Amino acid sequence: MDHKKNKSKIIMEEVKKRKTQENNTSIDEEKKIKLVIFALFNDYYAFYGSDIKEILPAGNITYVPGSPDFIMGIINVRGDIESVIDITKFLGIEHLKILPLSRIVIASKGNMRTGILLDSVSDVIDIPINSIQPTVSTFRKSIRDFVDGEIIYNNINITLIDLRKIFEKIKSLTGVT
Amino acid sequence: MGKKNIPWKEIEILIFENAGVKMGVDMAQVYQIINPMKLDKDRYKVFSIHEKIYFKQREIKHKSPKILMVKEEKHSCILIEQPDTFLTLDITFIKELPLLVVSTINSSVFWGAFFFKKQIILLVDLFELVKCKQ
Repeated sequence: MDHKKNKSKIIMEEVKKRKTQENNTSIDEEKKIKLVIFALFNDYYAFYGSDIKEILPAGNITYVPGSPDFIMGIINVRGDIESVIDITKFLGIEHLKILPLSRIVIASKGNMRTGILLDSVSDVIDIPINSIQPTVSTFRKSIRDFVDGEIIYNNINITLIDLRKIFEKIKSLTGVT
Repeated sequence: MGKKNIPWKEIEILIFENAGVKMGVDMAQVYQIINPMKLDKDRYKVFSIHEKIYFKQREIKHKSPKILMVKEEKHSCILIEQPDTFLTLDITFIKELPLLVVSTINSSVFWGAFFFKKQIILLVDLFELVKCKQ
């Protein structure tokens, strides 16, 4: 009798042990984050996917006279007008041109919403959050202020840019609230 | 308080182009359109839009210029280029400019926009433009 009780106890302990392992695996699998990987002048960067609402082909951008240099203009997005910014003005890299693979991503964070012109969008991926490493590369100060980490993806170094920091910079420059 | 109805359902727009930027003005702000040769230059000071608002390094072509005499404006008038279209615009088609653009332009000159022939036309407030200092 005792042996039978022990057996069931042993079996239930094994069942509980497996369930705990499964839960741990699920928790680890849940800790993933979506990233939008893009290119600017032969380097690869990424935005947090939660900050990107749409990816559009780069169409005609209408210049708005009197706007600051980092605002390229405005575009028509299904009957609404969205602004488009040149992110290279903040990252301190060469001026952006519209290329055949160029894309405009519509980014939204807090009360700030704008399009951002990019050379191309390479991929949208889900990666384990713990694969984001602190920055080890030597960045210019101009870009360091906006970097949240680095990832290695397909053997390529990708710099993770935090849009919140870019938008805060815009707010400090322009007084937008 | 009841819902206040605005008195306009449509506005008459003149579309023109300066330095490659398509703009429109509400004709209700315009007293007269005249040829630059006919302007009384002793009485009126004329300026171009790009003298009031920064156009970056965009090329100014001085093509088909016309003078807009602004209503209730006694001393200044505005030189525009390439006026090409008059149209009646239903105000429901007027779009607001994005917050980021409105907040960063150093004036209230551009008050909205609309779509015409697949282009975005910026609406210019002539009363604000006259007051503008670059």
